[in-house]
Amino acid sequence: MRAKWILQCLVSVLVIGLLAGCLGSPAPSPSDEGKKDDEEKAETTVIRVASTETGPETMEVLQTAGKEYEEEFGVKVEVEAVPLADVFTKINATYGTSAQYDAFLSGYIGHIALLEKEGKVAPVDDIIENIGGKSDFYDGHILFPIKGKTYWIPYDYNLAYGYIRTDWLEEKGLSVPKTWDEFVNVAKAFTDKENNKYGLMMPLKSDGATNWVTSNLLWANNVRIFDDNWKVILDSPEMKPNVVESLNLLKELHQYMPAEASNASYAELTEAFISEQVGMTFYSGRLVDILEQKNPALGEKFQVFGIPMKDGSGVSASLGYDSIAVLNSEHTDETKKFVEWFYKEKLNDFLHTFGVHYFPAQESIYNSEEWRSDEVIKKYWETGVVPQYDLLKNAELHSIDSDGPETDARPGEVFEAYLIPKLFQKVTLNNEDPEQAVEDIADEIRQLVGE
Amino acid sequence: MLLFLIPGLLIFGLVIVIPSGFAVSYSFYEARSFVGQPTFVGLNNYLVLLQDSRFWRDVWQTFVYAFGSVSLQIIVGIVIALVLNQQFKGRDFLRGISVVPYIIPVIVVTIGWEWILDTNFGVVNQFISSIGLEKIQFVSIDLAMFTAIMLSVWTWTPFVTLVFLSGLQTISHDLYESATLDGGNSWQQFWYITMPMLKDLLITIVLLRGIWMFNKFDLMWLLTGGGPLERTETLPIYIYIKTFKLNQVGYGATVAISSAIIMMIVMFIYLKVTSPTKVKENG
Repeated sequence: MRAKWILQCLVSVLVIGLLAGCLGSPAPSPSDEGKKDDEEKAETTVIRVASTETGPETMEVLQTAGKEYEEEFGVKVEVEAVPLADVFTKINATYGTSAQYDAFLSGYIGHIALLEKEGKVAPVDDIIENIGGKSDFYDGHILFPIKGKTYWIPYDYNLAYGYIRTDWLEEKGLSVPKTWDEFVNVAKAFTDKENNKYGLMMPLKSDGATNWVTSNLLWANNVRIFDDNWKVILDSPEMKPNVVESLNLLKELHQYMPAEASNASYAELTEAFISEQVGMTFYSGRLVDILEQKNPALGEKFQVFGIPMKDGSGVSASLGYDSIAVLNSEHTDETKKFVEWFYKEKLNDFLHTFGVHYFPAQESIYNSEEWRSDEVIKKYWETGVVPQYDLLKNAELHSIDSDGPETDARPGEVFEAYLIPKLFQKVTLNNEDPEQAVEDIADEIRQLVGE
Repeated sequence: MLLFLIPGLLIFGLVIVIPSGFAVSYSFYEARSFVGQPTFVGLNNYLVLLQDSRFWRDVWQTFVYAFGSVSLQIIVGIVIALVLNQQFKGRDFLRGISVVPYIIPVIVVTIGWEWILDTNFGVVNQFISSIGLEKIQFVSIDLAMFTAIMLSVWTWTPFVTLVFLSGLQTISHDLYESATLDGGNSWQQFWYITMPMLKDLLITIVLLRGIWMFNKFDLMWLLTGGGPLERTETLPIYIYIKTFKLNQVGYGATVAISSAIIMMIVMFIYLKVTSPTKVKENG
């Protein structure tokens, strides 16, 4: 009898628990969140940083900086390597839990816009001011303020641009392409499928690499996704012809790509070039750093180039950047102090781990002897570093997540939904009519952003 | 006696009932994350789901993947089990290595097979081109689902083999001897002795493998990420994308709940159709 009574009590507790789950708010109330007891405050502060820079050299700099900071200020800093493709997911999944990060490295302003919308990131204008001010960041070029506040501190530019084999060009009697026709001709001339040689590699997989690199073909024809009123204009009478032209260019180029392009991501872009499978690839300065480590013989055989604009007015490059953002947490102030200290004391060490790739986001660093003293930077100054500066100053720069009249979550959603890669896949892998593909994707974007 | 149920019920409540309750709860909200205040939208997420063509396409693709991989796992698994149940030299060694695919981590299986099947450098395509045939792109739009099914068969067939083999060893040899004396050939012995004797076991294997493959995420995500062009996007992948990539936590929960309901309906129909033998309780 007693056992039955206990069982009934237990079942009741479970049912109440279930109902609490079903009917109650799934989230803790703000008042709960705000409660901190004295004991917790007394514990040593631990700052957790998610680093998307997962290379061992870079991680070592971050972790060493963390240890030094702990020794000096008594605040523990834990740095965890999180792949770029997973960082947004991980930050969201852990936010508000005991495993929450306090800061993270990010490569997409779209992520910041989405997190700001949720109130998860902290403004960092004070740090920006203390490390050189807006003007030092190329007049705030990539600070992307939201409602007047800045939510990330850029440390580098990662433009995505072209690399071409100069010895292959010489062999074929060609020069670096300056028009779309030349671009296709060079790709065709480089291709020798029998011997596993191809013109170029552009990623087509549904991931960030395609968003970043292959979208370059759209920017080379002045394509925009949103207008100044956040209306989707991808399939508007003015924009659609440009998109279709870019897609037709991609279709032509696709013939001269290895089959791996359909499933290629960041690694395949560098591997295909360094293993001498393709004559053109598209990446940031990281390719030079990897090439220096794996195939230095290629060091004298490449040239940087921007994607020719359709109208021949110049070149384009995909806008890319990396930065550190601070999340709203129990340790926001402590985290901001650490981040500021890191930028002031350790940024050069960090940037030197991949000298050509980490192109400084601050002009003062670019002009500093300390930064320029790195051996790899010195070696590739003319071929790998200065061309990035030229592109930064002169190329048409754009990206999916910075599309639209101001920084906003909508382009970030387009980025995360991989709808632009889907557009590319439709015309290349599935051979769909580009006009129809543009309309389909524009509709999907409208649905996604709730237009 | 009922007191002994308490620990089990507590665990069941904590790890199954309450989290499921949360999932059901989220499906009635528009929630952009797991924290903050979600907005109650009632059944709206379910109404949207009914008109979501991507969801219904993924339901179909999930069934194709689950049915394709389970049926092949069963057929191949039974054949291997029958072979390994015979007496021959090296049988124990073969029994040992037959489970190797099952114990290799999925990430290793996926990356390994990606290299083996690589269009340019993979050994399979090197062989294909060496005999004068055109190379095959195994993760193309047309072949990606087939490749995923084949990898699933390679990885999880040993489970079927193990369970079926253990079942085979419970059948008395007298039955086969009698059948042989009566002139029954191998096929007849398999069909009229082995299969009826192992029918309930087979129903259970199909049920378990069906549930696991219906909910399978890791292999497909690692191999194709749901692509190319969403051709291998199954419901678990769709749930992941909606919940964690697009932060549509409420809608992701709706898809998850709907997926579970669909699977339960299929299980119910399956068990009704197959009607496993009921064991009468003594006393």
